[in-house]
Amino acid sequence: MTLTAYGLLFGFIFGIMLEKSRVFEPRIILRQLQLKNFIMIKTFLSAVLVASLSIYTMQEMGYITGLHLKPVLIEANIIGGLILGFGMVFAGACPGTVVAQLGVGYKDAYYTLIGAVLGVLGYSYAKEPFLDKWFYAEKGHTLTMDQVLGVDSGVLIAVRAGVLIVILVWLEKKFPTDKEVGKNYSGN
Amino acid sequence: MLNKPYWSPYLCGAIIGLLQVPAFMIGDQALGTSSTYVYVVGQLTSLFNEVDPYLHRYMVKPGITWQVGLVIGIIFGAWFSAKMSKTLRKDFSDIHKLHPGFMGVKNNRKYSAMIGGFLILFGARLAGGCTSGHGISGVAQLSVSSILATVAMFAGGILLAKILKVGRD
Repeated sequence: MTLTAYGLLFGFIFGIMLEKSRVFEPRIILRQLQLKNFIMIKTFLSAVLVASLSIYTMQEMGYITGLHLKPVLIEANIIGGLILGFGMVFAGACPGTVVAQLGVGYKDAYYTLIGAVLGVLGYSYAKEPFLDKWFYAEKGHTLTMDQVLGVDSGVLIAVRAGVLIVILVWLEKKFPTDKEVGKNYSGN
Repeated sequence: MLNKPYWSPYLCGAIIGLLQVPAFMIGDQALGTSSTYVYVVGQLTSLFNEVDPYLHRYMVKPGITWQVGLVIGIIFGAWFSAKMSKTLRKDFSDIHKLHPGFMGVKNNRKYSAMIGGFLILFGARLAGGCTSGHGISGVAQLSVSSILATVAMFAGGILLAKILKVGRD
């Protein structure tokens, strides 16, 4: 029960951030994929930057024992990612943002969530007869870029942090946020 | 502060990134949302018949209740934030205007939303995570599976958005 309570508390903060960044707006998500608005990628890359530094710090300080990685299953990762990407265009949402849309009152969210329930059901029905054979015949292992490249993960994270900061500064210069939020705060 | 309708997306993104700290330390998992859908669908089907083994695995997954709380918290946080800045919404979004043909009709918005909802969850389950689990958490941890999935998400989305783009602007 306490786990749920902590989840609720930090989810509340997550929800405020999804709303205040405007990244939950269906229009902003779709316009990002049309490469006409960059609020989504600005928020996303900032999150990746700080997430990587936070996780690395926790690991170095010995607060956590290990990472939480998912196994490499090349076909499943790529085809699943593509399907999710196609879905974002139709829905104007991803699994995390649709619940923010629900909270804010967009009626789109009811229908997206009905689709989401059907998507999970469809997946669970297709898993044993088809998907296990097509995608999960081999178990797959977790793998990280530092293992692939043979470079220390701290070095990779530091280099990437530098690159991300350059990209974010450039994005703001090229696509100022004040112009991108649009008149109704739902994207230009 | 909360009455401002929008904040810097960099600040908001950074705070979302910091949520990895409670996710790892309290939830013993990385930040993610899509497993919650499997949990909820499992609970729903348990009302009617025997639960599919795949769904059942998520219903008893260690720490799942943290993520279920997180997803419910998002609903309230987004509602509260929009209420404070008077940006609550009452109707459908206008994204049908950015789509061609069948999907460009306002009354058909419910169908495009349902198709999209189906695909985002089917895709996330197949890939093993969504834009937060693979996208933020996995990419942050330099995970190869997450980098593959995340590049595919954006590539797929950008490609389809290009194909379905309405003529103007």
